[in-house]
Amino acid sequence: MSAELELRWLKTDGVKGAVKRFAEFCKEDVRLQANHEDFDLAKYQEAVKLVMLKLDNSLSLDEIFGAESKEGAEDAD
Amino acid sequence: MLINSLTAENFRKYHKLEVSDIPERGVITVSGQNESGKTSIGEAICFALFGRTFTLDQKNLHKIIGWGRDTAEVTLSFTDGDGERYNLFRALDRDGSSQVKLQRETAKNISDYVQVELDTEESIANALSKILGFDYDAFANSFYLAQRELTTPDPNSDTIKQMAGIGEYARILDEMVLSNEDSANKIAEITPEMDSTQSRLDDINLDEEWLPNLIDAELTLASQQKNRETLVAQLDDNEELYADNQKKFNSAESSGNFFKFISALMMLTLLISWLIFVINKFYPDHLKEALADLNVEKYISFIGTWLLPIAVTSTIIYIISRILRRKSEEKASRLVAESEAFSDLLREAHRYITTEVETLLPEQVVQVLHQRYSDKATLLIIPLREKFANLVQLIDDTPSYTASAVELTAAVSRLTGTLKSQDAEIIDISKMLIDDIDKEKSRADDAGKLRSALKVLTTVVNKCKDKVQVQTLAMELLQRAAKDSIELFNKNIAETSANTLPNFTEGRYSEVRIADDLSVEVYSDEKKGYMDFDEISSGTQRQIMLALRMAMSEELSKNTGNEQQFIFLDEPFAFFDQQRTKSTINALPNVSKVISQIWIVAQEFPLDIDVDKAINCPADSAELLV
Repeated sequence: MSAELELRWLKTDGVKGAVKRFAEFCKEDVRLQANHEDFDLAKYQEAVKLVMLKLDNSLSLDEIFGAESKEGAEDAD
Repeated sequence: MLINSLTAENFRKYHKLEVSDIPERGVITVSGQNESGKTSIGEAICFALFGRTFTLDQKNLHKIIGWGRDTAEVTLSFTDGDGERYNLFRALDRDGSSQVKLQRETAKNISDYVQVELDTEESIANALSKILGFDYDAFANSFYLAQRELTTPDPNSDTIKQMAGIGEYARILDEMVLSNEDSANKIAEITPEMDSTQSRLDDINLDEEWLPNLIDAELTLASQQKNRETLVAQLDDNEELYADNQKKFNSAESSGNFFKFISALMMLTLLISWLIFVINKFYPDHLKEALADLNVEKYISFIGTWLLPIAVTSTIIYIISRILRRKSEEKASRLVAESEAFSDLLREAHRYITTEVETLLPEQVVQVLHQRYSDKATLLIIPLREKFANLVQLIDDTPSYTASAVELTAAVSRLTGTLKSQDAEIIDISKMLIDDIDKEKSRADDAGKLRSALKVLTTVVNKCKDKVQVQTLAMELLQRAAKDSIELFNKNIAETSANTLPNFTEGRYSEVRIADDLSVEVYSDEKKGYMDFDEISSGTQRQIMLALRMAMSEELSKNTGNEQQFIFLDEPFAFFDQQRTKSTINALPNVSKVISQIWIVAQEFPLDIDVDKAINCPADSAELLV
């Protein structure tokens, strides 16, 4: 249970801004919430995933530049 | 985000504007008289980033185009929080058409850059949103501070939410509130339909065991009816055969007995003949003596002549009679087998007519049939015992053909008659059961359709409920995260401001206290206590507010992943005296590690300050190259 409470699947590296702050907050918050009798870890994780999805639902810069980046790199070679 | 260079053509008063070699850290002063184009530099940066300026909306944006020119162009080179370099080009024609390009310079090594370019408004807006992390409002309230904006921002504004890092949280919370309302409405919409469907299902009141029982009963009756028909046909066939077979059996048995007698007689004859023949052959003297003793020596010659033919003939007759006897026995045996089969048929028929059909059917079906046939014992049809009083004896006598053919014919007639009458009633019941089955199948189909519909509706409602439950949890989570961010935001602002204030106010004020509504109290070292913001002089208020706004801007930078950020301060010292201006400018480079590139616009600056780049806007020229 304690390992699950670490929310290891929730990465804080490689993300920034609101996504990073929220992920860091959840890692702390889950331990506090786990003390409540009616705490449901599965539902909690589902809620975290939903928010993370909505926070990070847009394309990354690499995806936005996508194909152009590859073509540019090939041209430079 | 740090600005690397800025070039513009035909922008406002400038035919040509070029600002390059901009230091990443330090103070960049922009000075000049009124109408010299100081503010145009800030506007060019804003136009490049957001396609608008602080003073001109889309309708009046054409006013950025220089007098007598057709197109204004701006190129802004900048570095984002991740160290990526970008070139952003934006142009506007007098006819309102605009052009925008964004290049990303991807470093392969220090001296070699690969450029990739986006050129659609949507993709560039999307990319800029990602790169900058803030929108125009947040930019205008944080990184472009004009003298007039040196007040506390509206605590409920989107800008303050972005500064505190809860802008995205607020957006998602709003989305989830709407989504939960939609789900609640959907549940409210579906629930009456579910109730109605359940009610119709209750009305059908389908008994899950009734249809299988009906089908079972119908199959049993069909099987009974078929067996009875077969039995009647077999009884009729066998009854006709019996009399004929009885004659054949009697004949075969008589023949058998006759040949049995003949074979016994021939056996005796051949034994005697062969015995005498052997004695005569090997002991003729003894035979003569024996015959002499019996006074029949006259048969000696007869024996010598006829004994062998008699012995051979009796042997042949014996063999033939044995064969014929065997055949007669086999025939009788075959006829007995047929009569036994007939006897079994009679026994089977007797069992059928004396078995209560209802004992073969499911109890539930029997009960219903009894209700329908309360005055008729259809399922209990059993013939009168007297009617078949001698049947058991006849059945027992049949295998041996001792049963009277006449009596048997009469018994078979009664049996088949009873079976046929029972069959007729079974067929009636079967027809009724088939009708019941059809009706029950129809009811089951209706119930099945209602159940399927109810299942779909229940699934939708359960999904909505699950969604609401998870989103409610997510909203609580976001609210806690937002509260945590706001507390951290206030704490950071208080701490940053506390570091900044003594420098800005020459040590007179060192601490600020910020309430949730963003009202500010300042600790006076002289008065040894907190003072309301209104109690202090307007010049000091602006120093404090500049410190506060810079702290807020720093928070926005950190919360948007910009660890290095420029800020553009337009006439921040309008109400400052020379000494305050000097102390503030000297303090600015050390105010924040994040707000590192500080652009300050003023008509003039004190001479004895340290600046990293000075831009002097000429009043009488449309070109500025620095």
